[in-house]
Amino acid sequence: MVKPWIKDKIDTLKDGEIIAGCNVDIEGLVSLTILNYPMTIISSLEPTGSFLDDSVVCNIGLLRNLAKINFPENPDPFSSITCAMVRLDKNASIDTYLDSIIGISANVISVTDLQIKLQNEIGMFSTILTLLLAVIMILCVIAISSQFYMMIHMRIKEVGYLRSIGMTRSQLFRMFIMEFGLIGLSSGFFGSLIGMALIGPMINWVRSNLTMPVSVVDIKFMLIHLLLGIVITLMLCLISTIIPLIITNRLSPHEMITKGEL
Amino acid sequence: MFELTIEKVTKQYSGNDYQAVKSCDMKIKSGDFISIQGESGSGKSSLLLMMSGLLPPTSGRVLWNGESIYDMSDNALSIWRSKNVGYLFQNVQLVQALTVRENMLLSRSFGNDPTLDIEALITLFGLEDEANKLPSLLSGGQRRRAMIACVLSRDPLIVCADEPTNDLDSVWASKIMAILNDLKKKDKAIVLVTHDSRWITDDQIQYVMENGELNQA
Repeated sequence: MVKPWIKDKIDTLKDGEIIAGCNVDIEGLVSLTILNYPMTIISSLEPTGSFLDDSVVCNIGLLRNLAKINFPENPDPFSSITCAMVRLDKNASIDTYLDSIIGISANVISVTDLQIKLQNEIGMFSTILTLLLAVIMILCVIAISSQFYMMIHMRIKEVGYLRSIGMTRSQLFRMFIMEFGLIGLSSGFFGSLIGMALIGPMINWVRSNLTMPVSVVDIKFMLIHLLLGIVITLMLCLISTIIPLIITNRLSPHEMITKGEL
Repeated sequence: MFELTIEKVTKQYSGNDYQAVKSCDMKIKSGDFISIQGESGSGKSSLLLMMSGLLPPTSGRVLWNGESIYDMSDNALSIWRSKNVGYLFQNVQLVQALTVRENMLLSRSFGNDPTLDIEALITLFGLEDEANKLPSLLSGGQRRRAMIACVLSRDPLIVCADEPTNDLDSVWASKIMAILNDLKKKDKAIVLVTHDSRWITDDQIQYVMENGELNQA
């Protein structure tokens, strides 16, 4: 949500430097004038789904001084502060902190709470996706198994002939494992390439439509997922080969030849 | 020298209440040319399949030099088939994705002599122009010749031929029978199953099969 480097940037935010929320229109700008003071935009935030999206983060000390200068008739310039972002220590209690600020009744929006809520939602979403993936994998194995069974069945007479000239069951098993392994390898490669081509637009879509952090797509990410795609497809193909081969290998050469449809 | 003995072999297919082969006995030695005649459905092909190690009998034994082939492990039986038996199926069996020459090379790789001259066999069977063609591009007669050439590529000790002259014209049928006859000189054994009496000669050990029963003629 907030990039890791933002912590250091906020800690070292100098006077006159600001960080803009994602909804603040800063396109093409390098600086903004706030309360007649030129501010340099040093970066922008990723979408958070909170008030931060519409906010500008800057040094509160500078803002206090600017408020005094710009609103001299206001005896209490701090009363014009409508919003403040406060970073608490990790284990600090929000309620205890609020109690310590006397005379201010603040409406608290905790980024940490938002983060936890968002993390829970992402976790649930991930679980659903994982389950969906498992179901898809099982369906794939069934579909590929059926397809391979049909492919073997169409060649059952040929398989019977190979057995009759002396091919052993293990040689037959190896032959089909290699054949279907090659199918798995090539389909995994091309499938993963298509996936790689689609991942850019998909991440852009997620980034623009959903409030959730998205992975950084670089060459390393691409290569890892390309290899992963090939390995998973290969595994699926090999798993799918086993059942049709076991069924086929039960038949005697004579049964294969008489059952063949060619 | 070898001996293949068939002892009281019977075959009853599952789902059928009759025996396709009834208690048959036979001895095949190197140099034998055995012919089995009989009508369609008399059990000739079943008997041939059983003696080739391709179809386990319901009862009885098939012994190779005294050892029961169906008591061998599946791997050992496959290797036994590859080295000893060349089976000529009634219907042409070849690997459709391979050319005739590739089919012969594949067949040779399972056989007794990995250096056997494939080109000589191609010439012998008149397949020079067809050697690089896929089986699907050949005529029935050419496919039959290619199949016989594939079987002989393995240089088997016994050739079990189930109606080998099917699809062949009379010239090639005679040539094939002459080629099979020549195998005797190389101490091979030939078991010929046919319903065509033209190919039965006096120098053959003749059997007749009727309703699953095998009798020497």
